[in-house]
Amino acid sequence: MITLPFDTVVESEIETEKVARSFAENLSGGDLILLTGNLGSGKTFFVKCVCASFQVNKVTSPSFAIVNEYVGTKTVYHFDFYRIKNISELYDIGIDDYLKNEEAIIFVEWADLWREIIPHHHYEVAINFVDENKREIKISRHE
Amino acid sequence: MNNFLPILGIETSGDLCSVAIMMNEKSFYEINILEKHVHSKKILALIDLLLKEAGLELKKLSHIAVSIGPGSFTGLRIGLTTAKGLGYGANLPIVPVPTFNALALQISDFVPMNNNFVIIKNASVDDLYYASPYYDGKKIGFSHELSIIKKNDIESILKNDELIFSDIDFEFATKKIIGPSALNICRYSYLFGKDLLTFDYDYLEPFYLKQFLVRVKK
Repeated sequence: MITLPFDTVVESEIETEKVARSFAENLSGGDLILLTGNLGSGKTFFVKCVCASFQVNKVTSPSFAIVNEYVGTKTVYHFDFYRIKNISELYDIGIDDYLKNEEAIIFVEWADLWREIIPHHHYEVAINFVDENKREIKISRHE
Repeated sequence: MNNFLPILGIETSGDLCSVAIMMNEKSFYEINILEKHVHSKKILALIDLLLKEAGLELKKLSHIAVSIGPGSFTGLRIGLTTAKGLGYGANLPIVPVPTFNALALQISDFVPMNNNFVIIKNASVDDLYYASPYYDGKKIGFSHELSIIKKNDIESILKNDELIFSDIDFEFATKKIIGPSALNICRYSYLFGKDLLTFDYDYLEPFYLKQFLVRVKK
């Protein structure tokens, strides 16, 4: 488990994986995690590492499908808002039912694009480029 | 009036999975299951059981009344799809029943006529449905139309001495409600459904208040 707010610079995928696995211990059913960061910063990779803790091993980018669903020791919904052009598209796929689910863990990449739909209670994981091989990872909890 | 009976009612707008057959003003069959995420598995078996218990065939029904929303995205789709499928197969018309009107009718059994009361239901993580209906013996009216409000704003909206019915546990006094039940979907249809009756339900969609508001705003 990690203490929040959390801020670190990682220099390899292995270090990212360590952070993600520790963060996984903070999570339980009904938690919502927003991921922000530029293209290629490693948002999907971070989700993949967190999900490994829940015995989910087939995490892929949901950019195309909008939402992927995984079932391991926990149910995980993995969203990507990158291609959403209008908020009504999110209502049309039943976003409220997903967000209301108290058993599943929900990740949202590019949540910044549609902030108005995001509930108050959530975690935020910001991944920023420092240089080619370094990323700053900031994790915070919002009540 | 008799040609408007019996009615098959379907209610899946929330956690309650409810089906009913209203035979006439005095007799009905109803099954309720309060359990999350079972509606799609249970609903057809429950309808089948009710029909058998009532000694009816589907085609002997007058119509199917289905709760049209607002409510759960998936739940409403399950109910409406079931109604359409059965209706199409047995050549029955459908009455789309406004969910909160049916709930208001259900609650009005316990509230003096013409008295306003308040219904608050969970809409999404941060939002609530809020309405203030009354029943005057002829219709369900609304002194405050069904709307969506933020959970944080609820206490500032409520007035003193209001009779509040909700599916959420608040700090202020409320009466707990579950529903509407499918019988009240039938009752609403029986009383007020004649103008809503349709055979042309190919394009009938669930009513999602939030989506509707988003589109109107656009």
